[in-house]
Amino acid sequence: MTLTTTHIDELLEKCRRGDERAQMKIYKKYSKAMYNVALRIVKDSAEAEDIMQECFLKAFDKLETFEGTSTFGAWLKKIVVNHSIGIYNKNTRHTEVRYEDQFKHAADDSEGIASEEEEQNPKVKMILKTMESLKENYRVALTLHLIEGYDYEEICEILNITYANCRTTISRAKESLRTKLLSYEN
Amino acid sequence: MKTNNDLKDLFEGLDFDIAEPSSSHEDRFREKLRQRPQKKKPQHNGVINMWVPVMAIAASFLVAVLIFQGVFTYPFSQEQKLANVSPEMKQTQDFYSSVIRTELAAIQEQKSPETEAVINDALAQLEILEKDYEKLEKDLGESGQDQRVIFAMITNFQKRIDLLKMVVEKVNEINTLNNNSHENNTI
Repeated sequence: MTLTTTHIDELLEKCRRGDERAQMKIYKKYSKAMYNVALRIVKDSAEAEDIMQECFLKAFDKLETFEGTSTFGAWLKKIVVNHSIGIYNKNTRHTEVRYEDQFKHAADDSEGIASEEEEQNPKVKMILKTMESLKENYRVALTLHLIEGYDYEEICEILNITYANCRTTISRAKESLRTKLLSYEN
Repeated sequence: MKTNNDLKDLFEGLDFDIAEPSSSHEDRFREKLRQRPQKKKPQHNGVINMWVPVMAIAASFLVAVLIFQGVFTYPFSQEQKLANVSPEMKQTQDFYSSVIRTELAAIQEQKSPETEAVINDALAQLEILEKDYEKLEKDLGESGQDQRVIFAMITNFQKRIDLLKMVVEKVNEINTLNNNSHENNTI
C-alpha cells in the first residue's frame, strides 16, 4: 500500500511539473472509475466521458491545491461528482424532455453490454437497474450515499440541500429501493 | 421490516464500475491535454514573488561580471596547458611527453644515410602535429576547458606516438633489409 501511494505521489509531483507521460499514467489509472462515477449521475456515456476528461484537466491545473489530506482518488472523485451534479442540474432544468431521452439512452447502453456484463455482475446489474427505476432525486441521492459512499453532510454539500431534506430524501429513497428490490426478487 | 443497514450490506464490496469509456478515450484525452493553454506558473506566496525581481537583478549582475571576466581575462590566459585541467591530465601529459621524447631519441640513434629521408619526413610531420597542439592549447583556454578540446589534445599525443612508432618500425625494416642485402652480397 505504501509502495503504491509513494508511486502516486511521485507521479503527481511529475504532473505538477507538467510531465505528459505522468499525467497520462494518472489518467489511465483513474479514468475508468471516474467515468463510472460520472456515468452513474448523468446517465449519458458521451457526456460522462467529457465530464471525466474535463475533471482530469481541472485536477492537473489545480494540483497545487491538493494537500494530501485525503487520497488523490478521493479528491479527484469529489471534483468529478461536483462537476457531474452541475451538468445534471443544468440538463434537468433546461430540458424536461431529456429525462425521457436519458432513460432510453440508458436502456440502449445496458442492452449493448448486457451479454458479457450480465454474467459477470448479475447482482450489480440488477441493483443499478432497480436504482434507475427510482425517482430521479432518489436515484442521485442514493447513488452518492450507497455507491460513492458519502455521508449525509457531504451529500448536503454536493446537492446543496439542507441536512433534514437530505436525511428524508435518503430514507425515503432507501424505502423505495427496498420495496423495488423485494419485488424484483420475488 | 429489514434493518437500516441491509442496503449498506447489500452494496458492500460490490464493484459498480462496470461501464467502460469509449475505446478512443485515451487518445482524445491526450489531444485535450496538448491543446489546452500552457499551465500558468504556479502561484507561490508573496514572499517568493517579492524575491523574483531581486534574484533577476542579482543574476544579471552575475552575468555581467562573467562577461567582463571573459572579455578581459581570457586574452591573458588564452593558452592553457593540459596539465592545468586536473592532476590526472598533468600525469597524462607528462606520460605522453616522456614517451615521445624517448621514441625520438631512439630514432635519432638509428639515423643513417639510408634512413635519413624517412626520419626527416617524420620530424616534419611531427612538427605539424606540434603546431596543431599549440592551437589546441589556445582553444583550451578560450573554450574554458571544453571536454572536446581535451579529447583532441590527447588524440594529438596519440597520433604523435603512432607516427613515431611507425617510423621506428620503418627504420628497423630498412636496417634489416640493408643487413640482409649485405649478407646476400657476401654470399
